Amino acid sequence: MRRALAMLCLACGAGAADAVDEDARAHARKLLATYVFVANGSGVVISRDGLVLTNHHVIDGEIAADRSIEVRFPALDPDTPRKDQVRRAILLGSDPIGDIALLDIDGEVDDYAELAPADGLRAGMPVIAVGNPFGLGEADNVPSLSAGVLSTVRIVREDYTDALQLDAPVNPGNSGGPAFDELGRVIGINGQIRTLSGMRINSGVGLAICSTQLSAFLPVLRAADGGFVHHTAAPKGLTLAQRDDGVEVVEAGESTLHPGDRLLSVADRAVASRASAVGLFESAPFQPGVTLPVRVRRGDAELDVIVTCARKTIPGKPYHGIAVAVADDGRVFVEHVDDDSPAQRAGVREGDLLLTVGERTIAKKLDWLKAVAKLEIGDRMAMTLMRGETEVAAEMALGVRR
Amino acid sequence: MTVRLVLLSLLATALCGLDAPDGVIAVVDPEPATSRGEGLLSTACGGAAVVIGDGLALTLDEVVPAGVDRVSIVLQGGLRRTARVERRGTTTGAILLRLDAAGAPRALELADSAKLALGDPVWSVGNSFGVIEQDGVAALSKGIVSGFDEIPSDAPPVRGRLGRVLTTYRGPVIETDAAANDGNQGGPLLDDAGRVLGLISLGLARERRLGTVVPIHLVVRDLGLDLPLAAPAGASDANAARLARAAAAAAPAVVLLYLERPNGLGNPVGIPRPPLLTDETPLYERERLARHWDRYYHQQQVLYTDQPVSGIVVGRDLVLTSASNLHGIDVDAVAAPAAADGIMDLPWSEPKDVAPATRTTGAAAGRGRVLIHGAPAVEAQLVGFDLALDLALFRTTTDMAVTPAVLAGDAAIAVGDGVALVGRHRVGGEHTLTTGVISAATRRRDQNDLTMGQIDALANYGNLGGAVVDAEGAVVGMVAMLGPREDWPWLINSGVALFTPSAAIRDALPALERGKRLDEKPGFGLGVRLQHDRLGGRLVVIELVLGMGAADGGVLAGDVLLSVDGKDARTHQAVTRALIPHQAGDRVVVRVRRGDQEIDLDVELKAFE
Repeated sequence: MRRALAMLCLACGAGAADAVDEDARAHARKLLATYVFVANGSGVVISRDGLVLTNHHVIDGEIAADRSIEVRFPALDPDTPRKDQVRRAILLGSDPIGDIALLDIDGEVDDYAELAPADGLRAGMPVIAVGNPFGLGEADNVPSLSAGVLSTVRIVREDYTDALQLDAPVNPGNSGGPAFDELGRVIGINGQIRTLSGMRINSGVGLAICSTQLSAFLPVLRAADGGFVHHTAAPKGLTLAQRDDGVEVVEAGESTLHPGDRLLSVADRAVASRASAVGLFESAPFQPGVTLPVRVRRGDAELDVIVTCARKTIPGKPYHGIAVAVADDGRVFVEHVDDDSPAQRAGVREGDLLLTVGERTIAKKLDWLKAVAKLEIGDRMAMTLMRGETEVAAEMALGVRR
Repeated sequence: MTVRLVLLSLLATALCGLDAPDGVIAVVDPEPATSRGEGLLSTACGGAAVVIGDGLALTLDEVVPAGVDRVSIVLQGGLRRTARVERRGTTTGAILLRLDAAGAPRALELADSAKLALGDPVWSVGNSFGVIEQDGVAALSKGIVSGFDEIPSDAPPVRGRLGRVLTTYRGPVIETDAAANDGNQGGPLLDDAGRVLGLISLGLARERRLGTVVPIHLVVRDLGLDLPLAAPAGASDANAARLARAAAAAAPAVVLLYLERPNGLGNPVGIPRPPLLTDETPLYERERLARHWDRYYHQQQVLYTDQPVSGIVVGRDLVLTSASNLHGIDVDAVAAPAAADGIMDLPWSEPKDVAPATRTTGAAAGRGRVLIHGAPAVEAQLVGFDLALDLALFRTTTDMAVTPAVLAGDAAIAVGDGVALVGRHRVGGEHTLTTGVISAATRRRDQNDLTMGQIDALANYGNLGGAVVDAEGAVVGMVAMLGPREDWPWLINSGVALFTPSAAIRDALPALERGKRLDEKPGFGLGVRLQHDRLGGRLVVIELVLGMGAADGGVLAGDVLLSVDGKDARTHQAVTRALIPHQAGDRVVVRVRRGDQEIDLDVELKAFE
């Protein structure tokens, strides 16, 4: 038996130096160092001052009352004792439509990755994904690295309106984690897997939110004060139809397009189908009056039209956390404020009398109902309240009712 | 150093990349289906075709079923056209389409698929999930030739989700680990130079369970086409070539192991096949159905007992496999194996020759037969196993005359290293091969100290117990079914496969040879079931396990967990991490909030039953 074992060990170490690609190992290590565990998913550090990108669906419901969430740095060296590298991060802003969330880790961070520019993307190029598939890293703080190629450049997949498809294995737990190019730049945040069987596992079709969309939304996410950001949408009433020779404007609605126009590009990305056109209109951050360039073929001419966009509604029921009641004198007062609700965080207290909500004066309960009926998730609701003898102002961003 | 790395990788990209060929087009239903998944194609989106000449394109009959002679096509960029069926093959299911309008995309050249080699880099290109139809671009996926197989003439028909027979092709196929999903059917598998090697069939490959490809040289013959077949590009990628060579070097020591199972064949435990999830499935049913499918697939994987498993020859008469492969075997009977009175009726050749009725029951536990490539099969007996390391060792009755595998050294692996997973799927065939990288080198599932490796190469049924091989042909580990977690079993082809590293194998072998039997998975804990309180970000005790430390130590249901052993315990992960330094028998302080009070409780960590 000893002899058998000795024989097994013959090749131990032999030729190992030749086999090992130290450059590849160092590169992998560099990528892993920018990764963080977030809730049951993943995130990536993108700046020295600790900005972390992840998916909205990863942090949704996981944010504590003080707007913070725990992030965990990975254990990279098995030879040194593992220490808890847990840091608190604050939610800066979240994009429930495009599935992006931006966190800010307290203090500086040594390792971070840059976002890749759009011009480096090419179908077939090698990509590396880092994540926490199946929550494997929960016990050992060790992330997983998987390799593959970029399957497509920027595409539209439902709400992922600026997405990359990749064939590197991604699984539940990879959500929010980075997809890197060969230079170690973040080309996207892995967020979805396309499967048919109902098994949520790798099919070779992973969808990542492209770095171009991440870059476009970064400023608004930073300024969102912990709330939601909005996406643009096609102008109201714009009706499109798929034709053999392209996507036709059937009704222009509130846009300056003409019926009969064929859409060639929206936001400088080519229109390939009706679905892609609709998605491209929804790919930009919304602010009032925001426009997108649209290239159309009108008759024999190609021309550029500047189109003012609508705002895409965040689906769900808006949530403030206030229940009102009518006092004996007919005035409307706050009967109850939910714990951890937007209203509670904004300082609304039970017993406050409602004076105004937005522009509307609240004289009876119907006024209140009308005032809130116009508001959507992510909108800001400004109130003035009477507390005892004092007039108090409160403003909150409406959340999602769970 | 960094600059050199960048230059090298850029160079590699330039050599190995593949420009997305615009000659790959989508084939869609001429009359749009009323809802997804209905209509002509029985798939969620259209299939694909590849342009091979002036206005001509190839696809498969699973895209254009019998009786249909006109289809709509979508070119890359989004233009819609029509095409008609010019000719149907008789043996391969291939179809020649003629595109109606002029201005067809650039044609692709063909490669001689008869000259393809195992491990050659390949690309699947297609309309996966409708990407050509919606976004006007084809999706690429890179893989290798994973195996050559022959679909037997008596194989059952393969149906789509809604029941239509997808393919009737029987004959040689190329297997690949490049992604093949709905929308790839009928589309091409390309070599590294962008030449067509074959047409992808979904019929035998649902959702990346190794795509199967009808070789193009057979298609050309079947359709009577007069087109030149160039030599395949082979492995222009140095890494792929090296891994293919390494796998071939290690392959002789990878064998098939056929185990006698007292409980018989098939699925002994009854989780019936769930109904299909269709668009008509009501929303309230979907989640339940999805969970049912999860359980069903898990059962399929764990209890799929009528197939041979992989083994690694580690001595002249020693074969190592995964202890998870012992499922259903009465290991208690192994210490005193019955005399040769049990009727051994294991196959000497093709596993499919075995009928369930021929199985014995009872005493002949732990016996099996090793099917060696190019040599007579030999009988084997289980000598030892270790469930913590997921190892089982068999001794054969005679010398197998196979050179044992070379086990790699202790520090052989690091994250990012290229690896090949070597298996066998049938007797007498070549080995099978998927490749990838080391995903993690120090994976630990839970509190026990076992360190596993993890790879992103696709691991399929039968790969359990197979060899993970480095670029030099040394075995760095054995594929193990130490499921990621109890509730997330090992999943086929998920790109997450764990392996027992060679260092642990080497340490364990002497004890296994002496008959070690470790049949308890080490595990211990507080004995509480915790639920995440989503709003507050806290864990609440919802259930206590009788006889465990928490119940004995005074923890009550409804307590909010604050810390364990002085460490914050607001998440499941945090609790797990707090327990890592401990072992069964240790005592820890558990702080809970009960009403307005914070209470410290002394809790013993006990082993789970």
